[in-house]
Amino acid sequence: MCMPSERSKKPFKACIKCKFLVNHEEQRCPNCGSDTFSDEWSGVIIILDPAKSEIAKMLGIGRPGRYALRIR
Amino acid sequence: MAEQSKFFIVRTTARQELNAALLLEARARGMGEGFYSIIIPPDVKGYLILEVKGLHLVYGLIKDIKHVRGRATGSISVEELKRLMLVESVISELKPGDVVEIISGPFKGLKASVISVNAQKNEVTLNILEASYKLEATLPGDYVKPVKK
Repeated sequence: MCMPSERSKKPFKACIKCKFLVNHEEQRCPNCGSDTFSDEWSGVIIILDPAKSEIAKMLGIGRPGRYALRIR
Repeated sequence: MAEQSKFFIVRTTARQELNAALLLEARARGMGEGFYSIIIPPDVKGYLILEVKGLHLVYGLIKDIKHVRGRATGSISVEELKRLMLVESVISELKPGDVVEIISGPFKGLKASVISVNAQKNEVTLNILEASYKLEATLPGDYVKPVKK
Protein backbone atom coordinates (compact mmCIF):
# COMPACT_ATOMS: atom_id res chain seq x y z
CA MET A 1 0.00 0.00 0.00
CA CYS A 2 1.37 3.45 -0.75
CA MET A 3 0.92 6.51 1.41
CA PRO A 4 1.10 10.06 0.15
CA SER A 5 4.52 11.38 1.11
CA GLU A 6 5.56 14.95 1.78
CA ARG A 7 7.29 15.02 -1.59
CA SER A 8 4.32 13.72 -3.50
CA LYS A 9 2.17 16.62 -4.61
CA LYS A 10 -0.10 14.54 -6.78
CA PRO A 11 -3.72 14.65 -5.66
CA PHE A 12 -4.37 11.10 -6.85
CA LYS A 13 -2.80 7.68 -6.85
CA ALA A 14 -3.12 5.33 -9.79
CA CYS A 15 -4.38 1.75 -9.69
CA ILE A 16 -1.57 -0.40 -11.08
CA LYS A 17 -4.02 -2.85 -12.64
CA CYS A 18 -6.46 -0.56 -14.48
CA LYS A 19 -4.70 2.87 -14.22
CA PHE A 20 -7.80 4.44 -12.63
CA LEU A 21 -6.94 7.53 -10.57
CA VAL A 22 -8.34 7.59 -7.04
CA ASN A 23 -7.94 9.78 -3.96
CA HIS A 24 -5.21 8.82 -1.52
CA GLU A 25 -7.78 7.86 1.15
CA GLU A 26 -9.29 5.09 -0.99
CA GLN A 27 -8.23 1.58 -0.01
CA ARG A 28 -9.65 -0.22 -3.05
CA CYS A 29 -9.95 0.76 -6.67
CA PRO A 30 -13.63 1.52 -7.38
CA ASN A 31 -13.09 0.42 -10.98
CA CYS A 32 -11.47 -3.02 -10.65
CA GLY A 33 -11.31 -3.73 -6.89
CA SER A 34 -7.52 -3.98 -6.82
CA ASP A 35 -5.63 -2.70 -3.76
CA THR A 36 -2.26 -1.96 -5.36
CA PHE A 37 -1.59 1.66 -6.21
CA SER A 38 1.31 3.76 -7.42
CA ASP A 39 2.23 7.42 -6.97
CA GLU A 40 4.63 7.26 -9.90
CA TRP A 41 2.35 8.03 -12.79
CA SER A 42 2.26 10.62 -15.56
CA GLY A 43 -0.23 11.76 -18.14
CA VAL A 44 -3.97 11.82 -17.51
CA ILE A 45 -7.02 11.06 -19.56
CA ILE A 46 -10.42 12.11 -18.25
CA ILE A 47 -13.10 10.14 -20.03
CA LEU A 48 -16.44 11.94 -20.09
CA ASP A 49 -18.32 9.94 -22.73
CA PRO A 50 -16.74 6.51 -23.32
CA ALA A 51 -19.32 5.56 -25.96
CA LYS A 52 -18.36 8.43 -28.25
CA SER A 53 -14.71 8.99 -27.36
CA GLU A 54 -12.28 7.60 -29.94
CA ILE A 55 -9.46 7.62 -27.41
CA ALA A 56 -11.52 5.61 -24.91
CA LYS A 57 -12.18 3.03 -27.61
CA MET A 58 -8.51 2.96 -28.57
CA LEU A 59 -7.44 2.39 -24.96
CA GLY A 60 -10.31 -0.02 -24.24
CA ILE A 61 -11.86 2.16 -21.54
CA GLY A 62 -15.58 1.62 -21.01
CA ARG A 63 -16.23 3.59 -17.86
CA PRO A 64 -16.08 7.37 -17.39
CA GLY A 65 -13.45 8.66 -14.97
CA ARG A 66 -9.85 9.70 -14.64
CA TYR A 67 -7.06 7.41 -15.79
CA ALA A 68 -3.27 7.66 -15.81
CA LEU A 69 -1.55 7.17 -19.15
CA ARG A 70 1.76 5.87 -17.89
CA ILE A 71 2.64 4.15 -14.61
CA ARG A 72 6.16 3.45 -13.43
CA MET B 1 -22.16 6.80 -39.44
CA ALA B 2 -20.88 7.66 -35.98
CA GLU B 3 -19.98 11.26 -35.29
CA GLN B 4 -16.28 11.90 -35.53
CA SER B 5 -14.74 13.55 -32.54
CA LYS B 6 -12.27 16.39 -32.98
CA PHE B 7 -9.17 17.14 -30.96
CA PHE B 8 -8.23 20.69 -29.98
CA ILE B 9 -5.21 21.90 -28.06
CA VAL B 10 -5.66 24.23 -25.08
CA ARG B 11 -2.81 26.18 -23.51
CA THR B 12 -2.54 26.22 -19.74
CA THR B 13 -0.16 27.59 -17.15
CA ALA B 14 2.82 25.24 -16.92
CA ARG B 15 2.46 22.58 -14.19
CA GLN B 16 -1.21 23.47 -13.70
CA GLU B 17 -2.44 21.08 -16.40
CA LEU B 18 -4.17 18.74 -13.95
CA ASN B 19 -5.88 21.54 -12.03
CA ALA B 20 -7.09 23.08 -15.28
CA ALA B 21 -8.30 19.68 -16.51
CA LEU B 22 -10.25 19.06 -13.30
CA LEU B 23 -11.95 22.45 -13.60
CA LEU B 24 -12.75 21.75 -17.26
CA GLU B 25 -14.10 18.32 -16.33
CA ALA B 26 -16.49 19.82 -13.78
CA ARG B 27 -17.72 22.42 -16.26
CA ALA B 28 -18.04 19.91 -19.12
CA ARG B 29 -20.21 17.64 -16.96
CA GLY B 30 -22.47 20.61 -16.22
CA MET B 31 -22.68 21.71 -19.85
CA GLY B 32 -24.06 18.40 -21.09
CA GLU B 33 -23.29 16.46 -24.27
CA GLY B 34 -20.56 16.95 -26.85
CA PHE B 35 -17.52 16.57 -24.59
CA TYR B 36 -15.82 13.21 -24.90
CA SER B 37 -12.48 13.38 -23.09
CA ILE B 38 -9.69 15.60 -21.73
CA ILE B 39 -6.11 14.45 -22.23
CA ILE B 40 -2.92 15.58 -20.52
CA PRO B 41 -0.11 13.98 -22.51
CA PRO B 42 2.87 12.80 -20.40
CA ASP B 43 6.03 14.94 -20.70
CA VAL B 44 4.19 17.87 -22.31
CA LYS B 45 4.08 21.01 -20.21
CA GLY B 46 1.52 23.74 -20.62
CA TYR B 47 -0.91 22.01 -22.97
CA LEU B 48 -3.89 19.74 -22.77
CA ILE B 49 -6.09 18.26 -25.43
CA LEU B 50 -9.87 18.31 -25.60
CA GLU B 51 -11.82 15.69 -27.50
CA VAL B 52 -15.12 17.30 -28.39
CA LYS B 53 -17.87 17.19 -30.98
CA GLY B 54 -17.01 20.58 -32.48
CA LEU B 55 -14.90 23.70 -32.07
CA HIS B 56 -17.80 25.85 -30.85
CA LEU B 57 -17.92 23.83 -27.63
CA VAL B 58 -14.28 24.55 -26.82
CA TYR B 59 -14.74 28.30 -26.49
CA GLY B 60 -17.69 27.92 -24.12
CA LEU B 61 -15.82 25.38 -22.06
CA ILE B 62 -12.54 27.22 -21.55
CA LYS B 63 -13.98 30.70 -21.00
CA ASP B 64 -12.85 32.16 -17.64
CA ILE B 65 -11.38 28.89 -16.38
CA LYS B 66 -8.43 29.43 -14.06
CA HIS B 67 -5.01 28.39 -15.44
CA VAL B 68 -6.34 28.18 -19.02
CA ARG B 69 -4.53 30.57 -21.33
CA GLY B 70 -6.50 30.08 -24.52
CA ARG B 71 -6.65 27.74 -27.43
CA ALA B 72 -3.76 26.89 -29.73
CA THR B 73 -4.70 27.25 -33.39
CA GLY B 74 -5.44 24.16 -35.42
CA SER B 75 -6.42 20.71 -34.36
CA ILE B 76 -4.59 17.45 -33.91
CA SER B 77 -5.22 14.08 -35.57
CA VAL B 78 -5.73 10.79 -33.75
CA GLU B 79 -2.41 9.46 -35.09
CA GLU B 80 -0.48 12.44 -33.75
CA LEU B 81 -2.25 12.16 -30.42
CA LYS B 82 -1.49 8.44 -30.24
CA ARG B 83 2.19 9.23 -30.72
CA LEU B 84 2.06 11.83 -27.94
CA MET B 85 0.24 9.59 -25.49
CA LEU B 86 2.00 6.31 -25.98
CA VAL B 87 5.63 7.45 -25.87
CA GLU B 88 7.55 4.53 -24.45
CA SER B 89 10.32 5.26 -22.01
CA VAL B 90 13.81 4.78 -23.46
CA ILE B 91 14.67 2.54 -20.56
CA SER B 92 12.27 -0.21 -21.63
CA GLU B 93 14.39 -1.05 -24.67
CA LEU B 94 17.80 -0.94 -22.96
CA LYS B 95 19.59 -4.07 -21.84
CA PRO B 96 22.98 -4.68 -20.18
CA GLY B 97 25.85 -4.28 -22.62
CA ASP B 98 24.16 -1.64 -24.79
CA VAL B 99 26.09 1.52 -25.53
CA VAL B 100 24.28 4.76 -24.73
CA GLU B 101 25.05 8.45 -24.91
CA ILE B 102 24.42 10.58 -21.83
CA ILE B 103 22.38 13.59 -22.88
CA SER B 104 21.92 15.41 -19.59
CA GLY B 105 23.51 15.95 -16.18
CA PRO B 106 27.21 16.24 -15.26
CA PHE B 107 28.26 13.45 -17.67
CA LYS B 108 26.49 15.01 -20.64
CA GLY B 109 28.05 14.11 -23.97
CA LEU B 110 29.91 11.01 -22.74
CA LYS B 111 29.32 7.49 -23.99
CA ALA B 112 28.66 4.67 -21.55
CA SER B 113 27.77 0.99 -21.50
CA VAL B 114 24.75 -0.24 -19.58
CA ILE B 115 25.45 -2.44 -16.55
CA SER B 116 21.93 -2.81 -15.23
CA VAL B 117 18.48 -1.35 -15.73
CA ASN B 118 15.93 -0.70 -12.99
CA ALA B 119 12.69 -0.09 -14.85
CA GLN B 120 10.64 0.40 -11.68
CA LYS B 121 12.81 3.24 -10.44
CA ASN B 122 13.46 4.42 -14.01
CA GLU B 123 17.20 4.28 -13.32
CA VAL B 124 20.06 2.89 -15.29
CA THR B 125 23.53 2.00 -13.99
CA LEU B 126 26.27 2.80 -16.45
CA ASN B 127 29.97 2.25 -16.93
CA ILE B 128 31.31 5.45 -18.44
CA LEU B 129 33.58 4.48 -21.33
CA GLU B 130 35.42 7.74 -21.85
CA ALA B 131 36.67 8.02 -18.27
CA SER B 132 40.35 7.15 -17.72
CA TYR B 133 39.48 4.98 -14.71
CA LYS B 134 36.52 2.72 -14.02
CA LEU B 135 33.59 4.97 -13.33
CA GLU B 136 30.12 3.68 -12.57
CA ALA B 137 27.13 5.97 -12.30
CA THR B 138 23.42 5.49 -11.73
CA LEU B 139 21.38 7.97 -13.70
CA PRO B 140 17.68 8.56 -14.40
CA GLY B 141 16.46 6.82 -17.53
CA ASP B 142 15.64 10.15 -19.17
CA TYR B 143 19.32 11.14 -19.14
CA VAL B 144 20.39 8.56 -21.72
CA LYS B 145 19.87 7.98 -25.41
CA PRO B 146 20.72 4.69 -27.14
CA VAL B 147 23.55 4.87 -29.67
CA LYS B 148 22.67 3.30 -32.99
CA LYS B 149 24.64 0.13 -33.66
